[in-house]
Amino acid sequence: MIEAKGLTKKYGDFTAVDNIDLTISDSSLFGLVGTNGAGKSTFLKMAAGILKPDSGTVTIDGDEVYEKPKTKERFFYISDDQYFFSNAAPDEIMNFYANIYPEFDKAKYDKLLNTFDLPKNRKINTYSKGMKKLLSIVYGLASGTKYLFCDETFDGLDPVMRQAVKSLLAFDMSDRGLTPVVTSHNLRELEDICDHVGLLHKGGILLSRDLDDMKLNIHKVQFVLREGTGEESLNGLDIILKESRGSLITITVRGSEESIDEHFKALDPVYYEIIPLSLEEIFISETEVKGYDIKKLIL
Amino acid sequence: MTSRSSFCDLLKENFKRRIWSFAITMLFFLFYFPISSMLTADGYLAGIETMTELELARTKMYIFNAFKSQHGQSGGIVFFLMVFAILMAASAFGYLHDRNKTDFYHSLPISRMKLYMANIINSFVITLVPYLVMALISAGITGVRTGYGECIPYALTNFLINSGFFVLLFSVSVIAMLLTGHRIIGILGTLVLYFWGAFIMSLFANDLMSSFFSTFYSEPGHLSFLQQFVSPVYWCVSYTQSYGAGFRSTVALLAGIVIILVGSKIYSIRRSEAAGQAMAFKLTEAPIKFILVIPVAIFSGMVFQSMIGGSDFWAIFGIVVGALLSHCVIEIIYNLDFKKLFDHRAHMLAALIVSLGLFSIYRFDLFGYDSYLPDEDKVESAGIYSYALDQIYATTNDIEYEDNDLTVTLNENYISDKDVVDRMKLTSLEDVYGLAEHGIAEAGISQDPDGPDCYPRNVLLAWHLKNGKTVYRQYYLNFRTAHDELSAIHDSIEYKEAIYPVLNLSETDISDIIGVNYQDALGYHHIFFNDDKDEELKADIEKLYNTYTGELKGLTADTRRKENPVCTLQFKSTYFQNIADSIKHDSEYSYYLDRLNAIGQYPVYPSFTKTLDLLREYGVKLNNDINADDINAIVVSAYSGTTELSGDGLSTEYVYEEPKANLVISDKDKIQEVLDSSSYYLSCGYNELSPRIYSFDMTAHTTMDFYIEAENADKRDFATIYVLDDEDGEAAPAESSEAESDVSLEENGLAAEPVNVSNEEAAVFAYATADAAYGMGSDSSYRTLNLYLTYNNVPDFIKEYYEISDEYLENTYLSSTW
Repeated sequence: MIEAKGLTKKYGDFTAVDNIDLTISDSSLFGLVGTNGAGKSTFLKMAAGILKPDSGTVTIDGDEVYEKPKTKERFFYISDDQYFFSNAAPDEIMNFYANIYPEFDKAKYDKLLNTFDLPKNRKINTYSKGMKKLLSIVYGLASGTKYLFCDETFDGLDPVMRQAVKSLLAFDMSDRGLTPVVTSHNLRELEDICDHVGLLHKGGILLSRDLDDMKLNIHKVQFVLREGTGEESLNGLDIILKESRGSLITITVRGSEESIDEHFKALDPVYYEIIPLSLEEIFISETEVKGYDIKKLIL
Repeated sequence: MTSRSSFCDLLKENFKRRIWSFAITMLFFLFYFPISSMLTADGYLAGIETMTELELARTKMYIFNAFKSQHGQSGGIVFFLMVFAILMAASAFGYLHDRNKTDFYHSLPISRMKLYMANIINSFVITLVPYLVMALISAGITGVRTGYGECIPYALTNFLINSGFFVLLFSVSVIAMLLTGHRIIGILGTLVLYFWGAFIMSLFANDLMSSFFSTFYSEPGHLSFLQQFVSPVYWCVSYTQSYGAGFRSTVALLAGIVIILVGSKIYSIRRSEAAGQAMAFKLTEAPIKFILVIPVAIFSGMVFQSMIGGSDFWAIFGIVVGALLSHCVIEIIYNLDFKKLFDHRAHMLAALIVSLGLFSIYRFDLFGYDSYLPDEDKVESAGIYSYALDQIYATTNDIEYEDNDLTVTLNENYISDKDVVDRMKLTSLEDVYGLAEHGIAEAGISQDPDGPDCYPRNVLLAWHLKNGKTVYRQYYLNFRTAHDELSAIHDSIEYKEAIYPVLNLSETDISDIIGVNYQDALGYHHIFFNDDKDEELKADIEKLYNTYTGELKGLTADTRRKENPVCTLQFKSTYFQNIADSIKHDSEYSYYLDRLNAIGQYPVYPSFTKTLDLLREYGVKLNNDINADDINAIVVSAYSGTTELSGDGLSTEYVYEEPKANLVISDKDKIQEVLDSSSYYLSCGYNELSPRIYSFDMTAHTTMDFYIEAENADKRDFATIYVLDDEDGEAAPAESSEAESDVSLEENGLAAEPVNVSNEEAAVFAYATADAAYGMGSDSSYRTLNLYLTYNNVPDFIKEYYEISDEYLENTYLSSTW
């Protein structure tokens, strides 16, 4: 488990990460979304022990990370623009990583390289940007670490490759309990792969929720009340948003589908329908409540 | 480090990443050492078949010397090590200047300390292993080609010494890389750390002082002595040689290790996010900026002021421009953004104010440097020296000599004016204070170059304080105003003991005097004591020494104004005589005898009657009665100029005019007239207190034989001076020289009357005379006499030829005497 408490990082006068409390559970794919400059990469770099927090702590399985090689053996960090030794071919870097990471799996590396059809004999500097990203993921998966930190690694991958990577991550998550932490400035990139999402804005965390919980606990209901039924009849519902168009009312409400269904059955409205929310709508709802216009933040 | 990989694995991986730099160093040292050695050896040994055994031995020695120069402490190897130090630091820690690389390395499960040490160790390996290997190969090649077994020990010793220097230079470069976040700025930072301290030291401890303090004395070697403590490069190439190479290397090594440890601490607190920024630590930005801007501003002020003849307006302009520009440039560098050039204006203003303040301290002498006079109760003694009073004398032990069977080297020890004032312990401080007060009163005051006043002359004054320190000041004085103080100081025994080291010989030194030479108008001669027993010889020498030094101690300034030396004496130590004997038997180096003869010659004035009597008693007959019959011609060349005050009125300079053709005097009457009104040059130098005219070089070409003593060359107690061998290798008998010396001007195509001839014609004449007289080489100096005139005794025909008026002579006389 990765745990950040009161984590703060400033660059001069600019606060990149501001007093973040965040917990990333094991064996789940954690997505960290936010606009450019929201503090995603800074957070990940602190989690990777690259940057030293100005205040607060970040621990991996309860251990400090910064300048702790033993702790650092538990993760593999892929930056948004991963560095490869100049003029190196994939195997050369593989050998380097194999020396550094105790659980590095060379067979897996070979297999993954074939899977992605990455040429072994070509120098990496001749690879395309997408190929380099895939190669980084190959190294990350072959390193055998418990955690994999991907800084905007999925941005720019074509859908087929993204799906393939997602499958590989899912396999490692179930096979050996891998916990990938992926950052992106695009919510849609993470929608279909994340179990848990944290939303960063201006260095602070707006929300951090399990995606299933979010989907199960927030619903949109469209209904038309009978005449004489006042809106006070909606009391008892945890309404986040409410819109009215004539007699048609749309509300976004927290709670289980069953409890909402029961509530509306009891009201006996003219019409009601419970509509599932997309991840995007969930975020819009959640962030609008807090006074943010998420469309300006990440979409 | 991880469980699977070790530090050695990390070293290997790091080395692999830097293999290109290893290739560069290997290639460089291959050419610098072995290939260079082979080229040198082949170059020298070309034509070995025709070499004699001695020539071959010497050639091998030259090859070995070239080898030593290549491996030794010449600036060359240290310079290249400096380049490699920067290259290694930049390649080792360049990843800290690139965000992606920094993220990569710092995300790995490797501690920064190990990463740091791997880079440090590999930098040494990459530089020093090729150095050692190639140096040993070079030593092997040179050893085999020359047979010098010491090649390998020499190469190894110098490798160790230079390695120490490399550690220091590299460590400093590493600090620069760690303190910066950009490679180019890191390299610039290295250069700043290498040289800025020396620049600041030069600016504040020398340049500003010499520009604005008229009493400032730049102690020889003092600046470079100070600079070596503030500049690692100066320490490594230490021009002052105040410490031995081994000591400097050891200190460099230890300092380098300390700096590397400090660097590890800096690395541990260095922020990864500093990559790509100019400076890694915000805290260092302002101090470094001030350290750079203030000296640049002051230097700029100095440059502008000197360009416009001392104008304060331009000095201020220079400071403002210097501060503004340098501050802007640094802000651009710090922010890596041209638009930020006017950031931190408060800093710029502060730097400008401090620069103006510091400049004012020097410009207006706010701390009274030029008016310094120590409290009397703090002064132990004092020393003064002026070239206008005396030359610097040495003893016959002040020489270094080396004879390794193949070559001979001889060097006179350098004695500076500082050495003289340091050893002078004047205790009659009233006169010294008086002299200093005159100097302070006249400091910075211009004097009329055309006026009748005595032009200012330089005096160096040292205050030896009771706290052990010595404070130096130099004054430009009108000697006439300080006549009484200067005369009193000159006449004091402490002054003469410091000026004439011959007065300070210990009992051992005196008993070590093995013989005495003297110089008269015709040259150097030996005194034949004609004692049968060593004891008698010692007694005679000691008697002469005691008599002479007794009279020298009593020499007064008044005496020197009236008299010129009639001869000089040289008291020869055993050490000196051994050197003379050694050279005497090696005709190839006989030219060293000239230099030996000139060392430690002390003046004998006509009033030294006891000494002169004793010399006569010992059979010395001074050859000073030269008459016109002994002279073929006197060639007068005029510098066609005068000594005048410089523009600032504080010092003198020689102003040259269009030279007039040489005057050749061959008329016997005129020659006699010149002889009667001139003095001879002796090795003790000119008597500075005599009113000598500097403008003329007068060379008399004689028919006299200087070599009459050559036949006694094998006597041990001689430093025989001119050994002229004939074709059979025998010393040329005096008679043969005289027989051939009857050469007239007419035979050489020159008229008997003064004629205008070019320098070239004069030289041809001189050489022809010499050749005809002695049938030897073309060097005429062996039979020429250097004469000099005094202002009040210039023959009329010389005045006419050079159009010199009596008024001019009178004025010049007044301005040059005191």
